Amino acid sequence: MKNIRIFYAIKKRPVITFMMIVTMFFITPLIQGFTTPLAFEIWFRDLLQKPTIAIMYGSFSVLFGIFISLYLYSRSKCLDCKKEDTRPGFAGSLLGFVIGVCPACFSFIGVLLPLGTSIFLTSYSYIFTGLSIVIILFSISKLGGFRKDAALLKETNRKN
Amino acid sequence: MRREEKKKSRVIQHQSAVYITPFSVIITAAVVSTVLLQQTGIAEALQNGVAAPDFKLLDAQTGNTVTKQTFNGKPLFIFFTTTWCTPCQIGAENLAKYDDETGGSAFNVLIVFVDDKETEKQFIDWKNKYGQSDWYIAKGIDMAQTYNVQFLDTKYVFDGNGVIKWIDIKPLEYSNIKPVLEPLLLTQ
Repeated sequence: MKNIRIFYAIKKRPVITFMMIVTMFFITPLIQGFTTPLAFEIWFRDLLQKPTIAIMYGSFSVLFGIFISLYLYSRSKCLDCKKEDTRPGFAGSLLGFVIGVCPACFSFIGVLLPLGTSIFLTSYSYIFTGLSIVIILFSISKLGGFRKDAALLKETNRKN
Repeated sequence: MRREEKKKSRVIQHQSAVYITPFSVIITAAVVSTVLLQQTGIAEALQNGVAAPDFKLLDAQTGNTVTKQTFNGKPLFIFFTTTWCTPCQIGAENLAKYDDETGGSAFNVLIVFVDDKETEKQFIDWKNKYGQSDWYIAKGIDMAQTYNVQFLDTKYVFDGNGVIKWIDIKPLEYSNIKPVLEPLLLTQ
């Protein structure tokens, strides 16, 4: 279990993982905070009123933190990881962040899209959040996050 | 020794840049677009000082027809929203508080719901939860189009003659209500 790459990556960079989870979770109110002091009140009320989406967005944020730590680990330590395998993960992160909890609720995407589209996206935001979770999981898997780390195994065997 | 340290610090800087850059770009783009495009949204809507377009709605609670003329003689606060719009709920609570403070009948409030899927029962529940008993509530998707509503939480204020005095799309803070409505209440 300890040799699974994902756990090793988190263990190696626990602070970055935690910081990325917190940042992704609060990125929407942080950005909204530039235009309204009500940003955090809106955010927490949104989460309370839409518990399913809140749980999904929480899971998405956790996976994002894990993905970033695995990405950094892959860049520095992993020899058989490919840089391009991270692309779907970043795309999924962007999708999850942009579609977020309530796209029509004074969010980034709500400003960019016509009213009808924002309302449509909000009605189905759980599908898009779910999709971004799947994309990040796919990217973690492509990075070998669920595999046993060969280098780690060698290290363990040497110690033994 | 120094060279090695320099090399190490370059590697750290490079690694930091690799993961910080894409996110800083996304975040900056989000902030700038949020601020700038909201201003554009206001610019594309109807202008202050212009007579508001006519509208005809059906009040979801009383079943009465509501037109622009219904509100002649008193300032009118129009709120374009949905029952699930969270910033709008907070804004409505703030407006209800100000409505209470001014005696409850100093100005009219019309809540226009713009989600086609929502029902009259949902509108009445929303009003009971966030609004006041004398507020008007109606579904008004066509009216939203006439008024160039691009965002939920769009608000219009008319004076007693039906002239547009204020347009806003940001979440409604309590401190922003008084400066808008007080001058209109004083001139009544």
